[in-house]
Amino acid sequence: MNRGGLANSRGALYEEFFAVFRVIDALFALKHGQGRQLAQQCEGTRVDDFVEKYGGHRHHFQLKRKLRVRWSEVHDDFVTELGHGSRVTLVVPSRDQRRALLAAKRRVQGAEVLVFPAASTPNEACAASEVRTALDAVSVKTTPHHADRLALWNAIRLAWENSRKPGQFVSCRLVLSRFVDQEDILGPLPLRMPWTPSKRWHRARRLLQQIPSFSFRIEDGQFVYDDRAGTSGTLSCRTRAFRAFVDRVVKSRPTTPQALVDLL
Amino acid sequence: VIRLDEVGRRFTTHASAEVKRDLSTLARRSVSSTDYRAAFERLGAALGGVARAMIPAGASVAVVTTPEDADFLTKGLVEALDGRRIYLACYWATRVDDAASIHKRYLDPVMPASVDAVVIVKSIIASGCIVQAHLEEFLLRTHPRQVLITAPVILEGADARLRRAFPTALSRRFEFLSFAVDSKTTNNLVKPGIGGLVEKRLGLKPRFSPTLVGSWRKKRAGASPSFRGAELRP
Repeated sequence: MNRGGLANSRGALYEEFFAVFRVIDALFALKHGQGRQLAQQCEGTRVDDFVEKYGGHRHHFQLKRKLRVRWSEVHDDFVTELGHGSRVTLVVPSRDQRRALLAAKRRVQGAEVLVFPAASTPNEACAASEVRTALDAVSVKTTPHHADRLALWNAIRLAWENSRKPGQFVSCRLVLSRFVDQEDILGPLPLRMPWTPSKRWHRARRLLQQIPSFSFRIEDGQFVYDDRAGTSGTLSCRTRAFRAFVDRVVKSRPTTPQALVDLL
Repeated sequence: VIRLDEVGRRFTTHASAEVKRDLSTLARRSVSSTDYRAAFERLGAALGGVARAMIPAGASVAVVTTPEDADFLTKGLVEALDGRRIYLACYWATRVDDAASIHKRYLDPVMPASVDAVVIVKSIIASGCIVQAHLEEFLLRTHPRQVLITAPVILEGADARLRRAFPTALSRRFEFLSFAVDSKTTNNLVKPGIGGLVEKRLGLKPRFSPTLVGSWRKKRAGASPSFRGAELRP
């Protein structure tokens, strides 16, 4: 019984971490204009561990976190979903398993096999190359540190936990909005995301452009600044903190880098 | 009176009677923010006194701090390190669970690309996530011979966790300097630790700007930056 309990909890963690991994991928897709609907343990489907809907397509994922996986375990369910025109992927923890499954004689034709490493902590998950690559693709920093990746992972995981509905689809935009709610409480995080500038921002921008030695740009929804006197940083344009900064700039009309840095 | 020996605290050999008194001041809830700040400044000076004996005179030293520690603990430490060429770095971080991401930095514009020693200053090291973010941000771009990680109080095992987070070639240069090692936590807070959340106890307002950074900026006015932080996408 204990062994079953441990296996169950490991399996649940594997599903949990995989969901976060797919949410990161969905955020990357959202950045490029594709909004996805996401569901964990999706109702009304036979391959239900994780399902994504976008542009009339469905992508189903079945997770198997164990040493030996056979196609026969998923054959009927996969064939049914493939018959509905869906994309179906079997997720396993190692490359060797993937190789063996792809070479198997009784492989389900049309099904894909994906490797997602088994990790027991977010720290381990973020160290895995698959997760690292996904996180770096959504990070504003060109060379994010492990701490940056871990913070982003934790924040995305929290946003997913606060937006998902058991068995139901939720929009990736909702997850993003929960992410921004967290940024408002915790502080800015280096997530790349498009942003539509407001009229007030255009007014603030004109004022900022007149401050000598202060450089800034908007990049993937982040206000990136440098006063060329040692202070630099980023502020997420999605957050209340940025809107408050814009208001402060418009109101106090700073003319020196020092006056501006005090407003940040 | 808090009987520190009953709450799983060990003092290091650096802890003098004055230091123990100041640690006790931090742990007491009834202490005013003025006294709390003063205790931190004295503890910073005491840490600086120990660090001073470890860093040769004339060495170039980067002092890396958080904004909340800057005006008290770090100020005391910087003053005690006279005779060394001090450069200041201050990092603002967003913390999510046990991870932190830096979003704003002040880097001394005249800091050379390579310094002899780095002193990381933190009021308390528990999960070590802020220190880890500071080290990643700072150390992976420069190669100091000495890396001193200082905090008046450290949670037992935090030093080992931090070492594990870095390659051995780097972590073998870490030297931890503290006055007390605590072993108990309640609701993610070290007990007795520093008596709660440092920003709250110091009475800092949201979006405060450290005076130490402001005065450093004035001191370095006109200098052009020689050392950059994390680059962003072009």
